[in-house]
Amino acid sequence: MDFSYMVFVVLLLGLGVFCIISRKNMIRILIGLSILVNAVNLNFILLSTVKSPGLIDPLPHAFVVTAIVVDGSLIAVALALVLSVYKIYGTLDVRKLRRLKW
Amino acid sequence: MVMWEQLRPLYPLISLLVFTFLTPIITYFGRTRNRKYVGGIWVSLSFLVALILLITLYKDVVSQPIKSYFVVSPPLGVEFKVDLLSLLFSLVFAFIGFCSALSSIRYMEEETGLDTYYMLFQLMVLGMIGVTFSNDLFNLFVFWEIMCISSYVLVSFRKYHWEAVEAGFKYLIMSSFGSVALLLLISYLYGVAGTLNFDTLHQIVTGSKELPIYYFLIGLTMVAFGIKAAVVPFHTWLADAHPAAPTPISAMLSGVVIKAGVFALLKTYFVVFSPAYFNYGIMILVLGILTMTVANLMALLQEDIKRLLAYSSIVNIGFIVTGIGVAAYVLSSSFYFWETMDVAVFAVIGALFHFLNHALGKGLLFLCSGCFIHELKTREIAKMFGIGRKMPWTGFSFSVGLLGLGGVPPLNGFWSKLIIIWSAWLAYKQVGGLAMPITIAFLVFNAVFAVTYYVRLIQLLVVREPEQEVRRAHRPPASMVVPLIILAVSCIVIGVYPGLVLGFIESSAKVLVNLVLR
Repeated sequence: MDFSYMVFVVLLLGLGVFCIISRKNMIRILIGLSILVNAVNLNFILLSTVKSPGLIDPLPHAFVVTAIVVDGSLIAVALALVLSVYKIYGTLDVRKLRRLKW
Repeated sequence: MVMWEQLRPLYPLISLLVFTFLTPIITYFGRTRNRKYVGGIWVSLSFLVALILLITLYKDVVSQPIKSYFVVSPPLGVEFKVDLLSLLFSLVFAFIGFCSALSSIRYMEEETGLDTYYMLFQLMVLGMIGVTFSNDLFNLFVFWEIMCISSYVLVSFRKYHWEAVEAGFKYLIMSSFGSVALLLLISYLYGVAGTLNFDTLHQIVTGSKELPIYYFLIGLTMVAFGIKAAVVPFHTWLADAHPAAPTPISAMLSGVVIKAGVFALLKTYFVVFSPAYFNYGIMILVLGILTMTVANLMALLQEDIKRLLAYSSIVNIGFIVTGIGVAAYVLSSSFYFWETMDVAVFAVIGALFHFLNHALGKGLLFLCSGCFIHELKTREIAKMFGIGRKMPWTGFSFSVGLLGLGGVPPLNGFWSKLIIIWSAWLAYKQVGGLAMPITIAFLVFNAVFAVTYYVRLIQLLVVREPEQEVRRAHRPPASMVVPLIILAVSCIVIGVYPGLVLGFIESSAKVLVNLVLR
């Protein structure tokens, strides 16, 4: 099994985490989250060939389809939330959301 | 052709699902006929039915767990399994859900969008019961996400208010980071073992030799479920999200949703990465101790009653996690087989018993604070001095809940804290070393420390004479007081007769430890 694709998984994971931590725009943070989920899905598809080379186990594929659906609904909820934030704060800058004390 | 016998353990889930999708219709007809309480009564009824169905499962489960699958048999298809442990957790989930639903009939009467609210409420409970019933990670992930997504929406339900929206966004980002960690964990476990079924995973992981990736996966499990359970490095969302939600939802989130995280943590650690083979007990111990100490110090500083209760939830999660840590530590570092098992069972009993007590007590406290907030329209402690005198039943239940969680002897929290500390002492006699005495010292310190602010809260809110503003408060409506009385009475009964539930808890702890050592 060729593990070289795993490099891209790690790169994508790093990209997603970096995006969530460093970006200020809320929509970009959600894009980072989406990148993370897709990186993990790619990882799952890669690992599905480990146990039975040449054969395709349907389980990871079913799982990844489920994960994509779950991610879609998650992002939909998050975007609705961003819309509410924009209505109240008038901005998408996540640094302005500092009224709650830590 | 689906066999009806196969569906038998799933009746609670199926009934809840049917009720859930009828909720919008019922609420709509209730609203058009000007009967606005119909929705809340319907939801309470659905939880009551689920509770009764769960109780009828008990006598089938008590001898051996029931399994069920559809069409494809377990190693390939998805599988449900109901054992005593999952029954204990799901009974508590449905019970607290019932009490919160009763309370939200009047608490939420002025809000709009109640059909969405009640439907998401039921979906959240459905997800939690599903998490406890599932026996493979596929199922667990799906139900986990049902629970998570509906709780995101519920936290930011008052979307016109800045606090709910802000806390909801923070909660969503952090918690879905945890979901990504769970997904990564599942993908690597599939890569290592080639299956997602818990039983098969146990055989493969404990049968193979120790790979370094297992320790990476153990850490990943802690991130994935620890974020939902609010273990300390990942706890920052909780103190914002729980106060921002409507109060019955706060009772659900603080009482039981974080416990779903604890359940998943317990099951993944004890079944997949058996502590008899992997040595990570010390990590759980450190995290548990850190959790209760940090949260205790933070709780002392709070001015807002719901924030204070939210921090106190983190403290109690610390107690539960420490109990689990003691069990894992003993199992991983001792060789005397039967004695070790007894100590581990004892520690798990402590953790599960504290889970039960905290679910009852924290549900009770949040619903009480809901009564206060409903009448006074404020959340600051400084503006509700002496409120307990104006509403005697609520004040009484509030004191019972606080004293019970604080661990004052005749009430329930005392026994569970005692069992956890005692099990740490037994573990010290079994294993020796420095870890256990330090754990005991921190446990005793935190147990005493927590009492100080609980007693302060009783003194301020119940004992003190009410001031001008507070004197105008009315008594809460009866439908908000009834769940309080139910919960307070169950706290007292469990405190006086711990044997009533300890038998059940002991057999479910034995189920768990037998899973480790089979």
